[in-house]
Amino acid sequence: MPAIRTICAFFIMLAALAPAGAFAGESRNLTESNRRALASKVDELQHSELIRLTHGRPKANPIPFPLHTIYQTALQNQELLIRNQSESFANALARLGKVFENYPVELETAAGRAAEARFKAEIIRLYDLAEPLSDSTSLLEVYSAFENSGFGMEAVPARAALALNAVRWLSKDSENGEPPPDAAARLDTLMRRWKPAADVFQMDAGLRSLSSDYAQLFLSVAVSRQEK
Amino acid sequence: MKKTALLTVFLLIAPFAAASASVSSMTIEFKNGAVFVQADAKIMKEIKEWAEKSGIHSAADSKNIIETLSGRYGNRIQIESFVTQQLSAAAGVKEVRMPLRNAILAGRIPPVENLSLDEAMIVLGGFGFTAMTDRYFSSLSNDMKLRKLVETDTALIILDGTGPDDELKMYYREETGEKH
Repeated sequence: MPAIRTICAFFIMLAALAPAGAFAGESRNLTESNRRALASKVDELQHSELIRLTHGRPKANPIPFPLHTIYQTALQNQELLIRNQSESFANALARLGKVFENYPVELETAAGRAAEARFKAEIIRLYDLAEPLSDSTSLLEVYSAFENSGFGMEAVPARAALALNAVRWLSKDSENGEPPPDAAARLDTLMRRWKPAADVFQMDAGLRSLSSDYAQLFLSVAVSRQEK
Repeated sequence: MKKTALLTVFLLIAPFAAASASVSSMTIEFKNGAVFVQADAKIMKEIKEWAEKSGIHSAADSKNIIETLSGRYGNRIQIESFVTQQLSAAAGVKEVRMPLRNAILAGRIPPVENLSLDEAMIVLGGFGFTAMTDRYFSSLSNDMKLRKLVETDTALIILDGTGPDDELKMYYREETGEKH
């Protein structure tokens, strides 16, 4: 009888751990699928790329091209690309969690919950490279897909903070605690807006532009409040 | 006739001219302010000697000087004090400084990045803040700064510019706290 109890307890424990296991499996699969997609795309492109770069005349040292570092990285250091991207994902996820901690009241509102769901989905979407890699037609595009993914994820916490800050101030004096409908529609558009950034300067320009657009939204709201 | 008129004018002006010639002034400066003293030349000489002996330029505060000199000379001298103390040093006032972008991301103020300063004032004013430019704020006396802070229900916001890295200063009264 004690053996049966032990077996029952073991199964109960397994059942309790199932959701966590499922989540861990899912995240591991995403990294694995990125790894597999990269390997197969590099395999697919390297012959055509080599012929394109050498004009069909492969030589002993066949890369007479300033972008050969990218070429080599994509070919030889696939694991480096995968590791950098998963670290970017982990960092962005941690910083996103801190942003959410900073806006507890706003996350109780419908607009805040929508923003939370949107940016959680956004960070997963950016991490998943299946689509960008399948669309790549050169190794440079493969490399750019990783850069866009990394810098895109890095910008997500700032984008989320801008959105939740907007929710905070737009819903401040409203009766139902939600942003006014006309502003909410524009807010939703701003939450979706992001131009892929291939480097830190483009990311900064993107955030600057986004922050300016939020400021314009607030200027129009403040002016309309003055006119009333 | 002409001579009589000139003589009359001279007699009328003479006492004032004599009085103004004998009055002199002195400014005693400190790190956080200054005391302006105006008195007869004779009294002023005594004050200068006293100031040099007691070394008040470095140590004493303006309140002590005013009390000492007023007690000694009464209304024979005129004293004015000027305080250039910073607002953040005033009792019950809390100062927060940070780059503008950080303040926005932390939810302290509504977004005003890259607006003109006038537009930023409209936005901040529309959401309950009292906002002003750094240049205007610096031109105010400390009393005026305090008055501005007392008048606002939330916080006094001082903007240097609206770039992401421009410094933003926020002054709160401790009793109102950091509501924003």
